[in-house]
Amino acid sequence: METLVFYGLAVPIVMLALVVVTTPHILRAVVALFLALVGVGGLFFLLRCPMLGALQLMVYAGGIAVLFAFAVMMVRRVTGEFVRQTTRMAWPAALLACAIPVLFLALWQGQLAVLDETTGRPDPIALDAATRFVATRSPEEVDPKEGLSPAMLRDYVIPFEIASVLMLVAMVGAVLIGMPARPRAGTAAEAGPPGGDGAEVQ
Amino acid sequence: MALRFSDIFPPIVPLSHYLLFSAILFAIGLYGVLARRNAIGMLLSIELMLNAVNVNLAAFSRSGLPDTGAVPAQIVGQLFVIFLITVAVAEAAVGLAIIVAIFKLRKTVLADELTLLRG
Repeated sequence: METLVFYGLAVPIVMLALVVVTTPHILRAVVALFLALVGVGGLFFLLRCPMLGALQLMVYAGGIAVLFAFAVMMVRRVTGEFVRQTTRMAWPAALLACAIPVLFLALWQGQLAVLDETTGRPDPIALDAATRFVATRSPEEVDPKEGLSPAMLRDYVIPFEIASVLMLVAMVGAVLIGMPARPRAGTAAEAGPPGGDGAEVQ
Repeated sequence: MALRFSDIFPPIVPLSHYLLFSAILFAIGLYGVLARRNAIGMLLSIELMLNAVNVNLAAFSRSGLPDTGAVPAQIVGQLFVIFLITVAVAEAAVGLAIIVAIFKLRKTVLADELTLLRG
């Protein structure tokens, strides 16, 4: 049953991902990416990670998708069939991309499995990873006091702070990059009225 | 050897199914990054790749691997996903700002028309 749900989510996600990378309409790609991200959020719920699922829906589906939609609307001449959408490297890229799942399947079948040096048999760790089942432990087994937020604010507080600084830097950087270029101090007289700054960068 | 229904759809999802799914998603994103001509399309594909990695981390964290430190392995995997989401958001914000700035400057966001660094 759980596998049915998994495939009910995974197959549409893969199809939507194909739409994202192939459609000539960039706005359609954004909508497809939005739906695919919602599907991945469902996968997180299936994995019994409700926190991740909620974050995925809020941050990715709610934030990033809208951000992309606005960026697409600010940038003209990028949508429509009349603009070629792929580079010359499309076919090599497709071959390279196909190689990844094929390689993974080969690994899965044990054809390239790492051989243990002493016994000559497949590496037990690799075999273990291939046959292991997920979500065998119910979430109740984890002590609430050992949940996500104590770990984040006690054991991983330094990465947490670094991440917050990264967000601040990214925010300031995005504003700085997005601002219209200021005329230099010496040329302020010939730069025209303020508010005409946007014309400077063109 | 007869293939039973439970062979294809076992009651619990094997980890390898998650890994294969995430490999396919990553490969699709990789194709998009390499083949798309539109810079916004490339960023969309990068988001796909990051999501594939997130699914991988969450699936591994739920697979009952032994705990190695003070924090349970299940929690560590989810923490990594949260940090990855943070980095992805920062990357998307800065990337889109760069794309909009380039568009204001050059009137194009097509990757093969941006040849400033080629000299």
